[in-house]
Amino acid sequence: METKRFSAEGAPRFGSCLEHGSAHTEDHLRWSRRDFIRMLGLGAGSAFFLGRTPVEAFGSAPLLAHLRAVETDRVLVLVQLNGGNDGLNTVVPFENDVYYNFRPDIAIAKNTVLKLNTEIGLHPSLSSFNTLFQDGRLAVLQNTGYPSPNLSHFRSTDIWLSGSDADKVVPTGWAGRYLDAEFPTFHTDPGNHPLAVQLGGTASLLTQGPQTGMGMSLASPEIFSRIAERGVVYETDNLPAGPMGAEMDFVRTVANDSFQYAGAVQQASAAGKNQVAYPTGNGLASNLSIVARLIKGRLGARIYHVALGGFDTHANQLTNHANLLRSLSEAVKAFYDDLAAARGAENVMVMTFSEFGRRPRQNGSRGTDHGTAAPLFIIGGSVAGGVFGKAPSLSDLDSSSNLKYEIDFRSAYATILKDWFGLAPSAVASVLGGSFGTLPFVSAPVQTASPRPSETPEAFTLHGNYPNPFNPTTIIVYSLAQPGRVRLDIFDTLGRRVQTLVDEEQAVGKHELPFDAYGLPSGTYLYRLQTPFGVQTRKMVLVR
Amino acid sequence: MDPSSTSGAAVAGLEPLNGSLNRRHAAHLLRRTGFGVRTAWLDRLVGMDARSAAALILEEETGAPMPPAPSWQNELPPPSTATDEEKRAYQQRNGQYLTEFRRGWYERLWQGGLRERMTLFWHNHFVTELGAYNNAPFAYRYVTLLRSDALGSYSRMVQEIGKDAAMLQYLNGTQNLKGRPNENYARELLELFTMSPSDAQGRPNYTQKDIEEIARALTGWQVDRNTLTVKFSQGRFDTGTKTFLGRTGAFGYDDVIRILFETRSEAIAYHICEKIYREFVYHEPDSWVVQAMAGVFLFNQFQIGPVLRALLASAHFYEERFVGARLKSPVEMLNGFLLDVNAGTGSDMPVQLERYATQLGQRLLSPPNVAGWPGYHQWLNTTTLPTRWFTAETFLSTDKYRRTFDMAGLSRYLLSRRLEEIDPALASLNTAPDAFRLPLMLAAHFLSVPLPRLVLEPVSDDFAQPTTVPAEIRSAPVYLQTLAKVFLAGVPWYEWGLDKPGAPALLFSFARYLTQLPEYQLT
Repeated sequence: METKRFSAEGAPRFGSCLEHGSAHTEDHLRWSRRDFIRMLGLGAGSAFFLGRTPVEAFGSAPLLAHLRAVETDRVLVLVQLNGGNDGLNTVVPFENDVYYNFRPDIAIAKNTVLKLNTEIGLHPSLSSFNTLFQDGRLAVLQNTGYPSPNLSHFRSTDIWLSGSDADKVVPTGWAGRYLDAEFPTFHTDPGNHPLAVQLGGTASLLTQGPQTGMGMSLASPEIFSRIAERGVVYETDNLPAGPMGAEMDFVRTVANDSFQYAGAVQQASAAGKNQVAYPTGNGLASNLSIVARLIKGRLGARIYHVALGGFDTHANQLTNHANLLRSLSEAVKAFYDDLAAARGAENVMVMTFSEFGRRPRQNGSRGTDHGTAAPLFIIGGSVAGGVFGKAPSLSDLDSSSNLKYEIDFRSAYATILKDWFGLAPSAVASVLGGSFGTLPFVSAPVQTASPRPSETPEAFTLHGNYPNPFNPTTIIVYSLAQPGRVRLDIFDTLGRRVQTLVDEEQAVGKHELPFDAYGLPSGTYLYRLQTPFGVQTRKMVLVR
Repeated sequence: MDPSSTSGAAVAGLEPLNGSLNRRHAAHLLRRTGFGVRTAWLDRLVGMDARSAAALILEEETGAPMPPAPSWQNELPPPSTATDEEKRAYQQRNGQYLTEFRRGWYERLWQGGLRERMTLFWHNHFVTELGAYNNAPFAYRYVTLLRSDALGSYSRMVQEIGKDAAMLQYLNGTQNLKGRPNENYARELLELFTMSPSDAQGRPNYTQKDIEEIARALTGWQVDRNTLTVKFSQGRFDTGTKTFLGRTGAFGYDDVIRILFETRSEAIAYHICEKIYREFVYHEPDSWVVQAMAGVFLFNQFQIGPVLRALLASAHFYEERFVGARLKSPVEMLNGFLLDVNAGTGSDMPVQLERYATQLGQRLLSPPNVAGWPGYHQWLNTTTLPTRWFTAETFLSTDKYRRTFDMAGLSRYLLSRRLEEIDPALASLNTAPDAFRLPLMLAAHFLSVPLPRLVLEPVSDDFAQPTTVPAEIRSAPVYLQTLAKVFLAGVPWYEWGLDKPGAPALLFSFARYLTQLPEYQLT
């Protein structure tokens, strides 16, 4: 213990990679989690702890299946319609007399409806959606809701975001649980790109995972736009002089590095170009234009969350609602076209949702009050278009004179998780807290991922280390069948490099490298051998 | 420069602040001595002179009752004849006790003030790592030792810590015996716990030979893990003559401590005061002020209270350039957040504190190595900063916790104050409606950095119904308008009210904005 010493003045000390200043930071930034796994060269069957989460935490599904799922390029864009969208005026049952009786002042006239089939049609403001429907790129999920509906905006929003039963308060979001399942080490190793990005709106339960928030949601679109535009959020010039100014500069620099991962966002934004004109004066469209750039620029986020507010149409709703639906459909259509121009529409699925629909009967203010079930739209190049489910019955209402739902909203989630993201059915059930049927709205479901065959290198062998577990020294042994440049690095389980033991040309034969873990905390460490012929990684355990 | 020549009074830099404390002074004192601003304390301190305020805090904290001893404090391990099952059950209980103890400690830090802060400070000074001893009663005794003298006698802590079971195991004192000395503890005692390798002029404070000889003198103390006792074994003690730090004799443990303080008192005082300075003022010490503190420390026979009292009353401590110049540790950030949002107890917050502090890198009982958490800039990186944002955001978006955050009560308190108390420049806005005053008040409550020094990204949108916005707001500096715009989030100002149904959401949303500002990481 006395041989490797460090001084109390904070001189650089062995093993403390944070001490390596900007070099460390730079190094860390380059490590996306995906790279981490890939560069470590983990083969199948290398079960171990990543971060502080046991791999078993995610049901019985093999870790590598999930890691592999990371490599799909599929993206989900959730468009939240805040306030409760009036479903009956969105997808209009134009042959239903009860509908017209219920809404003498605000029904959508049959002759203006954009007919989807012989019973239902879209609000005339949704002509862009109608185009997508005719192209087979838009699915309508009719009458979607949940049992024992709650009519509070906030509570029902939480139910939709968490994917919970109405009588359960669940502190995590369905997307957060999905991402946590796919990226079980995210809470200790967030990688260098965000998994989920929320533009605008308030803090969302949607991407809250069991261990940490899985999403990068930002206080205002201005800030996010600015990252996307320039890659730097916080000014570091013109800060006050003196200690406080110096510390502000430090924090801002870290924030800028990580916000979320400015470099990744900037690169993606710069690489991705908008190829169509988005409607102006349409906040959703401008947010979706940013999303399109980030997707095209291969940011790597799996989920984007955008919102359009104002759907709480309690009074004089006709004009307002028409404008909102126009904003929605034009924004989404432009977004779709933009992606299609880059042949990217196949990898992106858009789903709209709202906390509830509205009361079938109009109220006394030419508006509608809070309701229950409503249709969802699913749009994308890989969507099997069509109408799913039946139009709601207007004669069989619930005790609050609201619609009885037909499709459980979690069936939409289950379909996305299983057929879009390729999650195994058991994992889907684990994310959603139960089994829900799926709907065939994904035209090319991915097969549940399976581990890749292990790559066994032959030109070199990483034998292991002895003793193991060890305290504080151990010897790492490998042999080379051919000469070449060899590098051996030690990592902690966050993927941070602790030390490089060797980086040089080496001869054929058996090599032994001592490693002294003085000053390091107990735990699992990984050592990676890089050769011109391949990479191998093993773990070792330091027990003090 | 001879620090012992300076007495406790009127030293350049340590002279007391003139006049009485204003709200910004009092808030600074509270943020640095506790973890954030408790409004009841704030009201008490405003108007006091700096010396009385520091004395009051120290007096109350020193006299605060110690936490009750846990029921398991003397629970012995099963005898070696016990079955494997009994041994396993004991290990499991031990783990549960440790978890309970650690969570309780996080809770005390949240609820506590200066003494808890200093207990943590001493944990990061007289470091042990749980992995080395893994025993709940030992953890309790170790922390209790630190807490008992957290504001008391530093020299007594030095005297006691080397005979502490956790420390004896961590730095191998228990294996230090006659003929087979183990230098580990002796080295750290000199290098980290007392004097540091060299003095303020860069001259070495000791030699390798000193360490070896001191190790011999420290032999004989060992931990009995069956009875959970520390005992001195004459047979293991090296009775021979030792020479260290210029003294020669058949020294034992007590002689070592005595000689350290007799021969190296100035170096020890300087080293400890430098650390205290870093904790309370700024990471880069002002050597003049540290020398003056060391003088007070020596003059008071290594009593910690007088040094803190002098520092916390000093004009130096209150200098504007240091306000907001400290990077929050994870515990400061988490506890500060809970104080900022006026959190009440009753949730599983201690569990969450343990969880998030661990994620953020400050797991109590488990510092990274014998030098403790390096702290300062090492706390913040591209992983931990977003995690801090996520953490605050998680609390603010989780109903279970939101219910315990009385931001409405806080807002009522803030609205009862006047803006010029925050900053005289804001006096003209006192007539503005609450919808504009409150965001400024909240920002000043959450942020240590003075409002005029915030560098905020302007909001491009105008206020809702801009023509109705009062003239004094429209003509206010952009950063003030930005705060109000973010706070109102598009709601017309005249529709805002603390009693409106949407008010909590706006308050939480604004809290989220404030906690995501880079300035929030500073205190």
